[in-house]
Amino acid sequence: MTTLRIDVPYMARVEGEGALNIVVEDDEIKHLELNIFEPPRFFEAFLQGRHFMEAPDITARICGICPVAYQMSSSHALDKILGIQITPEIRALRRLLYCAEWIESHALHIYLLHAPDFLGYESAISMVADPALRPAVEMGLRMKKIGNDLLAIIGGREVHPLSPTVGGFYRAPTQGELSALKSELEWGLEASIKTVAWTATLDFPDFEPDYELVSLRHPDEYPMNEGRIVSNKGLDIPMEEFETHFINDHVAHSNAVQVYHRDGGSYNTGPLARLNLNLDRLTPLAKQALAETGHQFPSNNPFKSIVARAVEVVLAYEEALDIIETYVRPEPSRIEAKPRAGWGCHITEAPRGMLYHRYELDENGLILSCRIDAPTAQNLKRMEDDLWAFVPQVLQLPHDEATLRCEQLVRNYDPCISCATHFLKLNIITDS
Amino acid sequence: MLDAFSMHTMTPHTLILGIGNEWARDDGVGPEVVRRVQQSWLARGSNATREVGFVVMARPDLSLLDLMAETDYLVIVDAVVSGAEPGTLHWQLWKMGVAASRGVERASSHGFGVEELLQMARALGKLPERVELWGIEIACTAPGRGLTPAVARAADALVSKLEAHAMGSCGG
Repeated sequence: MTTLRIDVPYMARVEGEGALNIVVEDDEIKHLELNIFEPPRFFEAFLQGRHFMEAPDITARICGICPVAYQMSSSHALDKILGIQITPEIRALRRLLYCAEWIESHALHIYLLHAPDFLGYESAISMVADPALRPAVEMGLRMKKIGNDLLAIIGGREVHPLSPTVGGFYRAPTQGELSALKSELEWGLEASIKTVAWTATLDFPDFEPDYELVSLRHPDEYPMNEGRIVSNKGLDIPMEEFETHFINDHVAHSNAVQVYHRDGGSYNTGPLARLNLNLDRLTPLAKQALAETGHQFPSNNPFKSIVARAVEVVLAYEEALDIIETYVRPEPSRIEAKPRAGWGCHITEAPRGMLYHRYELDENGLILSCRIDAPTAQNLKRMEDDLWAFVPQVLQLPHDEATLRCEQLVRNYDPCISCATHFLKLNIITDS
Repeated sequence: MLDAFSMHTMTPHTLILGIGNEWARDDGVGPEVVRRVQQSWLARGSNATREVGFVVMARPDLSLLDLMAETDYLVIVDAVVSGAEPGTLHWQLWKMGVAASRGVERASSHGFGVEELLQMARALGKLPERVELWGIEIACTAPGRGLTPAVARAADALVSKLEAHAMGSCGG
């Protein structure tokens, strides 16, 4: 019997640690687990007893790259409990804020974290050393900076914005403040279209699992802050039914929560799912940029998530310019409401996928309970399923290439648990 | 991440950067030192002989790349854990690898480490001519504000050195 053991003892990342363990006997996988040993962070627990107005700012601290997602999901859920009806102007500003976050998050992942996988570099730093690739990285950095600048104009600072809150914004930017960024946004739109074309030239492994792709879908627009939950397997439910279809659970080998279907099945959420399920909601230039790649979508190839991300950056730049063009400063900038007891939930589309928040308040507006399901928690089981299907394809490859492919497969999801450039350290031990 | 109000000029020739979490006791020594140097510089600014920018950050950020491109002289103040006595001052000019963190490579969507950021700046041709690293050996990173006594004494000493630097008489 031949035993092949893949032990990945440490997955370098910023806010957590994980490992990958695989045992293969006679070309059959006997054991595979993505073990997240990051200590639990207990956000849901220490939110209990806090006033509802603290929730957007506290939950934003869960993530340093997508704090807007946490602010938007929590604010919308709390708006519902309090009976707040936001104005069209506040709605537009929230969407603009989300555009900024998609731009900065996606641009960073495409150029600095994901592209080196495809191009055979160990990191973005070594990629930059190649004179042929340096302009692309510089372009990506400038694209990201524009997203951060837009975040700062709307939110007061580029990470963990201060302004967004329940019912709207503590302060809304002026038309002049937003218009000052217009020329940079126009440059970014052009750069993002080039980015789509560039990502389309990358080499994509032949791998198309039979995914259930899940995302929001809105009647009129590409989903960010609103919509119903839909899937390519026929799911079509309101957000309020999320917990009746999806459970979150602790698995023995991981400190991270895994979210999956009640029947035990995994699903894929994020840019690939969003794009596949909302092709007819793309903005004109995003649609054109995708069409010109020659790649067929819908596509279940997770490696093509880099193309999906690039298309979403075009959309975000395009929408940002449109929103700024017609921007009317919200007056008032936020709708206030008195505390009241109730229950409410909401999902928004974070850069990495659906982000679910649910709160229960008492009559004084104090949080009795809450549940937060991050996109990465929803994708973890799917990542393991991907590895089950993909590992047999790489076992015969040289060690370095097998390592790269496993890293790349996980990075397709842009997981918050595993953002580091060197995601996996792969040890293959063969006993005959 | 940039502490905008602390920026003095958009095109500083010298940039003094303090890195650390001010809510994790001694880890905040870098920002503490840089804020105090800035206050001193502000108070005596009319006598300054060079343009100086001050930035404090919880952790390094890619937004520093553009600032570095406009900087001739970068001074970084950060907390250090090397096993030396708490309060020990470390100094050296940066060269490839000297600021590498132990274990995890810090390059992800959540941030770059000091070493990775400087290497990226070098690769992009944005590295200042001179990069000086000041480290203070720390003792405690528990939640909360305030430096432990030995680290506070070291901070006082470093503030004096950097005040001299900011006023134009080069430290180091």
